[in-house]
Amino acid sequence: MTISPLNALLRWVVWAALVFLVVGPIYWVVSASFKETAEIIRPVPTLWPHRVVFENYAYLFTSTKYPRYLLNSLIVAAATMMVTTAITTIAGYAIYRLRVWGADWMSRAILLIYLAPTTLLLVPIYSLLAAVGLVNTLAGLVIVNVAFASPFCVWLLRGFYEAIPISLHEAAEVDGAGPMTIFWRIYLPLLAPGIGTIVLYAFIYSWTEFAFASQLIVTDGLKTLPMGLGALVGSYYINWGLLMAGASLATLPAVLLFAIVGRYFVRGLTSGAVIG
Amino acid sequence: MSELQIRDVHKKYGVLEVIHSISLDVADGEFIALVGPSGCGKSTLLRLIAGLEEITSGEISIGGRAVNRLAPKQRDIAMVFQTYALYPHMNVEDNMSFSLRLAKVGEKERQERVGKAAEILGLQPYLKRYPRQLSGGQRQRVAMGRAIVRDPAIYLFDEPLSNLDSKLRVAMRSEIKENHQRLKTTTVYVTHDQIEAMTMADRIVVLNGGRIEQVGAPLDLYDKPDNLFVASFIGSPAMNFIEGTIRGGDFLAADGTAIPVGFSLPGDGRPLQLGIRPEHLRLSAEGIALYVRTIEPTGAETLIHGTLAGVPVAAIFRERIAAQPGQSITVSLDVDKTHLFDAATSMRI
Amino acid sequence: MVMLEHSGQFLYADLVSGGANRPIWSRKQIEQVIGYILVAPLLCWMLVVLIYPIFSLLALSLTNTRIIGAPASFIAAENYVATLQSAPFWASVARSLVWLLGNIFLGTVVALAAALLLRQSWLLARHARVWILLPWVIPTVAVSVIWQWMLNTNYGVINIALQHLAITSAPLNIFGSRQLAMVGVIVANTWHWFPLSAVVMFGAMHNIPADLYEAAQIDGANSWQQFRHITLPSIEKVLFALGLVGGLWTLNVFDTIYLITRGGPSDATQTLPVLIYDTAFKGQRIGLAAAMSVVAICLLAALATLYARIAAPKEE
Repeated sequence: MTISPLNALLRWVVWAALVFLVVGPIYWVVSASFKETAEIIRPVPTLWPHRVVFENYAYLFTSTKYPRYLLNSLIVAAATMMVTTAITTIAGYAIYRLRVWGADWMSRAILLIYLAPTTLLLVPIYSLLAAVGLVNTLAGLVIVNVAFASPFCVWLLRGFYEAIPISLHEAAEVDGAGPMTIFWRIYLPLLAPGIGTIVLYAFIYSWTEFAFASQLIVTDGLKTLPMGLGALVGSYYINWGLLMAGASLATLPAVLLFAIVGRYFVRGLTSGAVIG
Repeated sequence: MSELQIRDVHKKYGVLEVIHSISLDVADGEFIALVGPSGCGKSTLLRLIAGLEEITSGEISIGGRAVNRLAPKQRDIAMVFQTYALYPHMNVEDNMSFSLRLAKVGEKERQERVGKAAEILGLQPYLKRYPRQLSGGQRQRVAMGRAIVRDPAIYLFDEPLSNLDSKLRVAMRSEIKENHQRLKTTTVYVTHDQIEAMTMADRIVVLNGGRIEQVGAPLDLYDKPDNLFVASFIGSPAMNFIEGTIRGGDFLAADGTAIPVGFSLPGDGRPLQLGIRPEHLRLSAEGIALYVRTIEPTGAETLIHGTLAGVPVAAIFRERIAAQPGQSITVSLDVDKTHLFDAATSMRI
Repeated sequence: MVMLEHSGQFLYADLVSGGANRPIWSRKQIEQVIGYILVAPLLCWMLVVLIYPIFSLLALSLTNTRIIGAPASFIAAENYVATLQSAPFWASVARSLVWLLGNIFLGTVVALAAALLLRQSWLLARHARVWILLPWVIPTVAVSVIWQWMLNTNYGVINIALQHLAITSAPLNIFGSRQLAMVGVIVANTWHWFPLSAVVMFGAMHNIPADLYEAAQIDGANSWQQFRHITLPSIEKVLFALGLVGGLWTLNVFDTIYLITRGGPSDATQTLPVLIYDTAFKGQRIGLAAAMSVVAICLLAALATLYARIAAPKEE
């Protein structure tokens, strides 16, 4: 197909709009985090920092509990990620490959659960954790995050499992491997993109989770980023530079992980097996 | 000693029975081909032998040992899959030695066995390559190599050549046959391609609808098919059939044409099917009219599609034929090459 | 080999006689047992953290619990009566519907447009298929900072732009206005979530065979006709599923709203999850909040069923 000059121009305009929509807001905040406060609140905003300063970041690390929040978030997200990945990968194997009795039923139930209104369960889950003494602990947060991240992960894994030909499983069986050996030596290596996908999802879920974290955690030293930063937003006087440095830094780990496994995640979403 | 015995085996999926009482003996070192149209149960039977599916009733034994309840790995079999099923994350050498590593065979012996198999199949230059870097034929060889290193009691092949182009298929056919002659391992080979079965197997098992129609040496099936199904399934182009009855010494076709066949059967008037293979029709000055529809000269022979005694037939002649579509030629039947089947029971008479 | 053969015979004899070496479990049975061991952690987790709370939610809703752990008594359906008679409850149901429709409409339009762009085959499009997810990757708290800053009354770039373009004369106090606050949070939430829908839609479009379009071009269909008669029908199922899943997730959103407006100004953005959260933890009326949750779940189920009835693509 040939493209007329008008179409070519239109194409660039539309693409510019999309790029602007996706990247614009992020750039605006990240660039502002390197500006001096006076420059941030100028009536006519500057497109880039005229003087690049790190004072907002320095203040964040020296005068707030931000490093503590960051560490807590990393601990919770890493634990959520590891537990979720472990339990959903083996469950996916049982449901989608070993086809345990009731597998279809489980698969549907899990789909239904992932539609469940999570925030509406805040109250009873809080009381459950209170009953076993896990309120105000990072472990309690991990337990909740794993429960909410898992259903979607199992669902994502389906496409990846089904993309592995069943004949590989059978060939390995004929070659003398039992179910667990096949899992370790055939499925796990071939499942790497799928695992990348759920690692990302579980991490992001935990990294961004706010509703449960805000109620389950009381002690300041145990708070995670969303709460810590959220508190800065709500304070009487808003220090925008500080806030934007905090937001930019909170974004960084998620974006780094995304840069590594993002394309697998997209492949998982677009494989067609996720929905429909 | 690795003979295979199948005794009265049934396989049901729920209420659907796909294998109806199959019994079969395969001798040690024999090459058996299972053929039949798609859905006839040939692949299912192979998977039952492999242990990838469990039999509903009956008994399968390998080397005199009942294996009904044994897992594939305990059955001492190797299988070559239609899609090859090579492990994409392992190189050729690892693919071939995977079973040996699982069986805890020492490294030295592993290398020896893989080396030997690679030599037989001409795979030495490719040992460090990954499946995706190989051509279709090479992948096929690796799949066979994986079976060979096992030195199993039985090889099972599930339509191994159907993903190759026709030229490569012919080459691999003779390669598999050559390997069998060298290794003399009992082999069960599933294919839907009757030419493959004819050229490779010691005996052919024709399956249809989950039942065995006939078992026999390739040429026996060709020359003396037990029933209409086998007669029409084996041979390409397929055997021609003419409906009719025996009247005197002649076969009286449904449209009234009298065909001299030289039988002296009691003309009890029951409906019959006369079978004649395309190459057993001959040009003759006087005989039955064959109305020519299309002519396909291939050089060596001439294939004619036309109508004879009111039914469509195919005929192959060694001669070149000048006739045009729309004309008629006269042919006669090779009388000792005709087949008669009872139309009601479809069994050979 | 002789040894092996012998052990084989031995095993066979045992099989027949039911001796000590008889395999008690077949391969399928072993697979089943291992399979159940492997799903057990997930199922237990779901059962304890998600299924059990649904029942304890029902139990809580029948009590006058104010704070978790404090003594409470059974008050039967009182909380339900209070919920159904509560004007703020129904007001927040209405706000939830506005929130839902706003997000679905804006999100679908933006995501569909983006998906059509992603379908192009040049370099930028192929990279954009991955990088478009950036807004989704960003933690909600950062999203809230971004949009509070972008829409800020005094320093927000959008207000400045609107004034420069002479669309508005005075700066809009978006999150301070009862009408505009809802628009503001919908924009922020759409920005956060549209990439996920866009990628899923793109995936559905990507699976449409190219020869369909070639055939349509030969038949003389223009771009719009191709979109209308090939693309849309092909992604119908995915759009339906996205509507269902996306709709339920949208109704469930709490963090975006709470982090930006806390449900305000006054109660202008107090959707159901926000109301329930406030009732439970600010108002310290856990029992009432539980009853509200139960009613909300019933409403969601009814809405989802209605949607499935009306919008489900016809099966051929």
